[in-house]
Amino acid sequence: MATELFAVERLPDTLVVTPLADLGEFAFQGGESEAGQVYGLLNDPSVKHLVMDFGRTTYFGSSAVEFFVRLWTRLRSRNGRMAFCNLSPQEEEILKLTNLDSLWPICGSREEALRRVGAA
Amino acid sequence: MMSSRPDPPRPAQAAGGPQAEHGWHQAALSTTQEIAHALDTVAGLMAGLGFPEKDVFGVRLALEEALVNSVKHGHRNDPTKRVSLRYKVVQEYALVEVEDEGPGFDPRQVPDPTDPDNLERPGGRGLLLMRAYTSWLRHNDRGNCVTLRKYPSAPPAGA
Repeated sequence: MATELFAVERLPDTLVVTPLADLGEFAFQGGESEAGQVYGLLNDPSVKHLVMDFGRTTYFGSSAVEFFVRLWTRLRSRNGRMAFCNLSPQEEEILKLTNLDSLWPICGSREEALRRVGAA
Repeated sequence: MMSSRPDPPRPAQAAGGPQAEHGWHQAALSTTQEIAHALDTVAGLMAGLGFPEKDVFGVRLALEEALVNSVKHGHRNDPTKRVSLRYKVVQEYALVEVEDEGPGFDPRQVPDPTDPDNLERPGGRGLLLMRAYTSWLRHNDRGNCVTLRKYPSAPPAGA
């Protein structure tokens, strides 16, 4: 699945979501329906884990962070895991400022992130 | 932390814009294009004056959060309402004021989103980021106007 804002790859029990553009407040307001489509993919109970790959972006705003939290709470309800990878220095700083780096592993590569969530 | 340095005199309230008075610029914004243009303008002024890149990034992010808050929460996305933006960018600081037509809110009532008990709750992160990326911010009593100030984190390039 791909939209203007997100590319999504499906592994057996894991989704890899790659934002394709910076998810600042304006971009995210315009892309809420696309975010809703990604969220809807979690309706499939075989999706247990999620990797967010930020290799194509430089920053995100608070609405995008809220979206990540929503994804996480949904996954956590089925004992799933979530990991972030390829963050820019600004994106990593935002996760630290919001203390959300205490919830999600921050990884240097997609491969490491997949290992951290235990993707099948 | 609040600064003891006084604010420069504000521009007289006026519709339309942008207008300049004592270095202040102001504009009334309603469309996404107008808001995007205002973000580019403030960031461009800061970059032109030699503010470090991370300061330009921070003010742009904080201003984007403030403007979207105004449209989304203050105006409930009502396109007939306008956000007033006033800004002054000089070598010593960038000062930005965002005012909406909404009822306002009490920022003291916003829970700390970094508290472990609140990590999975929505809300409060926009305000947190605005605080983190500026030297200080404050709201008026009604809570519909936020003022952000950023001092350069390093001497301007070439100074």
